[in-house]
Amino acid sequence: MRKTTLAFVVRRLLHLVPVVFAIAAMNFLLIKLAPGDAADILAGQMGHATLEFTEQLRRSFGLDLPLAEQFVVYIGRLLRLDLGMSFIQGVPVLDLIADRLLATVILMVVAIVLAVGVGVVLGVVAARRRGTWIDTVISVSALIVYATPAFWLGLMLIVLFSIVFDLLPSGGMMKIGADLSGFAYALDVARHLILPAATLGLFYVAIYTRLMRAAMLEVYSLDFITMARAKGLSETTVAWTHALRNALLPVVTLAGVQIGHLLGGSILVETVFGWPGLGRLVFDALLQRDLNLLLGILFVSSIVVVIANLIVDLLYGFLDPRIVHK
Amino acid sequence: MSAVIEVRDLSVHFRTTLGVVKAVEGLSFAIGEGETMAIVGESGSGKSTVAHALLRLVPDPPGKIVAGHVRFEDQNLLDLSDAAIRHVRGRRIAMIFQDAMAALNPVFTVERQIGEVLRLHLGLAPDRIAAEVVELLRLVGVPAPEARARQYPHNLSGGMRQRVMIAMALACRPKLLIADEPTTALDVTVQAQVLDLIQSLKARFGMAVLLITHDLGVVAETAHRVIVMYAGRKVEEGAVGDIFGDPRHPYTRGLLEAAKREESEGAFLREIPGTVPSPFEMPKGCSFAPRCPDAFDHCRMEMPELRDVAPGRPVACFAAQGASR
Amino acid sequence: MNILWAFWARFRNNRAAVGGAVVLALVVLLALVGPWLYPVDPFDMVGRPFMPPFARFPLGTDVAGRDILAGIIHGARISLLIGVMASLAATAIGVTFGALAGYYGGRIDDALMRITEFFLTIPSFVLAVVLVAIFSPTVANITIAIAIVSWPSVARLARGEFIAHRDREYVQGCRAIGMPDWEIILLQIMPNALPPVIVVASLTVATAILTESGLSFLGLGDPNLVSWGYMIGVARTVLRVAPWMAAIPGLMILVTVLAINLVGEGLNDALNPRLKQR
Repeated sequence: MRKTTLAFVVRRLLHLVPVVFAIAAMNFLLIKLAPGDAADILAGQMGHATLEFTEQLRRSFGLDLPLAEQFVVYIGRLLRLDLGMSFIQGVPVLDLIADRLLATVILMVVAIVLAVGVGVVLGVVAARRRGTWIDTVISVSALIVYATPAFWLGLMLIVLFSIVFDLLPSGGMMKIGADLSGFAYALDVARHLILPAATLGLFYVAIYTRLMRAAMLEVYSLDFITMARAKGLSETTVAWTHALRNALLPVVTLAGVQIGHLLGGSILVETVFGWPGLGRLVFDALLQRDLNLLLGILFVSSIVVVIANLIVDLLYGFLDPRIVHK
Repeated sequence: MSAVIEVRDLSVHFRTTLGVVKAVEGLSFAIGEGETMAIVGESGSGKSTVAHALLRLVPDPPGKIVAGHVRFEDQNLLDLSDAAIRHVRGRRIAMIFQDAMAALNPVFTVERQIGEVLRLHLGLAPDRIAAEVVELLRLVGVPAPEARARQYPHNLSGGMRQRVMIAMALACRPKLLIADEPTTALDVTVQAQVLDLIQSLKARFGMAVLLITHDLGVVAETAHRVIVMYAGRKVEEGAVGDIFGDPRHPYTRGLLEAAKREESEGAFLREIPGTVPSPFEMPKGCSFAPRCPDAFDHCRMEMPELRDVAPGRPVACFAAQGASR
Repeated sequence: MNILWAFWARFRNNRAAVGGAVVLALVVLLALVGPWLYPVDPFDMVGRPFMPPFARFPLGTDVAGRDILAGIIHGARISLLIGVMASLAATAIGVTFGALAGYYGGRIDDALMRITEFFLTIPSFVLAVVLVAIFSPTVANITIAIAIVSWPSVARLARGEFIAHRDREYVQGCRAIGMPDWEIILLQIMPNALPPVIVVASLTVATAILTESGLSFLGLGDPNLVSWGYMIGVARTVLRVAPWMAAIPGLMILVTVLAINLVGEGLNDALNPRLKQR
């Protein structure tokens, strides 16, 4: 079994190469399509707008070379993890991203764990109590949350929990000015994490609840559920052991696929809560019209999605024993 | 021979958007100790519903056991609480299904699924469960049981999956085994093996068996008594030898004819002309009358009751009961 | 005609869907006749800033003294316009890809699906943000950007439908009489594949509206137009003193998107009646 798993992983990794290449190509295309290029921006910043000077700059950046050559150079830089410079901030793009990446990852992981956890539980409960008021409340709530724009939800939560009831901080990752460390620091971050993670995750709770409910109902009609009952197992065991394990598969698949979606949502949520992650960085880049930074973030987030998809593939193979044996 | 299980006036109805379906109507029978009772009928006769009803596995909604009494070990199974019936399921009465691939959970190992029953009903510790599972697999004739126990249902062949299901059913040495079409989904060669297995295990553990099937060949080989069902009702009952040698109900005769023709003409499946009536459009009078070669006017007006035409030979047919034309 | 009547009867049974349709119709009405009934320019300063609702102005004024109700009405127009247009474009592209991939299979399918999967890998909202930032925020660009990130889901669905239908007997029969491929795809299979496509298209309108509001919240909306997301973005800094400025436009988005989702699900149930009993 070990050998097949290893081969499985290796095969998946090989699939990555053309995808990453395509992402790089798309990024390059967008760079080229953007009005003006690095030379224009720099020249504009310096205040020297003479055509000659701009042409000089262009040549020094290698921007007068044929596109194909430029692309090769671009790939080379990417392989060295060089995402270019943020002309506005005067710092390499990669540094800016690396600074913020962890905060976003923390936010996303907490949001997704919350979403899957709560969604699965609510879905199972709704399926078991199908037709009762519990089911109705859960299903209707899911419908409403699903239609709610995340950034607005965040603002309303701030109004409720920060303004009306002064329970939670309205933004940032930690208390400004307080010099905390160790456990107190972790606790402070956690307090600041609650609202943003809940906001980001709530949308997905709605999705997974409905999906889990539907999946459970489908599984309930299968023969091995009757068999489980015939063996004398209680309804609770049937639901939370036999049915859940099978119904979980589509939910996990979807969760994995939605990592990219989550990244997009984090732009809005981090902006609303001032959470110092990649999403907030996007907002800052937008304000400053820092295209290089934007494109760098696009590239990095695409790679993150690719890696996340790989992890989900492997996880799925672990959850469904039928898959690995292909 | 005392009865292991006694069913009286069992009726199961299904509520659908098109009306009420009387899947089982007024069924009574008893199975003696160590006896194999077969229930035969075409699909739609209600035989599978009977099997599910005994263990209260009829999905409610849309189904409902509307009447009846099932006496087993001095209790009425239909009256028991949920906890009490769960105590019976898998432990005193076990059930195996037609399609083992569908009846086994695809994401759990064989050991886990058999072990569940051992843990739940016998309270065995995990280390003992592993050993017991291997023993059970060996008992039902699964080769290399230690390896097979750790595999998943899709790793096994159809026949082996059926053996696993039988192992699961026998884990707690039940008094009654309900087998719902146990061989229908299997190859002919494997069918014989599985039937032999059930027979030998039955003798070994002194089990009674309720065999649900549409295959008369299986009945002839394994059953002591037969009940013939049509459109939810029992139309004839008797010892296997009597039924096969001297069928009284026209439907039973038709089934036997069809089976004989199938054997002689090989693959050509000969059926009784006509079809089972739609449960929403039951004919007035005897439900079999539209297809019956012996039907006369009275048959179409009144539903025949079961009456013994010989000791222990109830038949529900006016013609068989000797009513004059 | 009989099919349409049966469909309508099924749809009518679903009370939630009908409710959604009513609400949606009201929003559309608001967008269409609103500016005529309430001819206030959303960018005009009509009074003092921060006036609460139900005072002199039905929904109050915002941070710059602009009429909020006028903003809601115009926002409705923008959201619905962009939502519908983006969905139509995404559906057109997606169905084309899906139909060709599903019908022809083989290498064409591989190639088209590679492209589709690629677009599904790029985080959609991030890409939309980058596209609008690069090509400057106009209604057209925003619509195109949203269409670009939305078409892959439609393509996958369409492909599934065409794969299911291409081996059916009626298609084989058409091929046997020498019907050209384009006719089979367009005139034979497409009408059968349409129901689920319609459902996805309507749900795409909902996600398009959410995406558009997100973009304008971030400041990537068309600067010459007021949209609901823009109003929320503007109200963000004054949340403490005037929460209604953010609450009202958000509620409009919620109600509209919810209505569309309910209608979409109603369509789904009405167009694909699943057998509920064995």
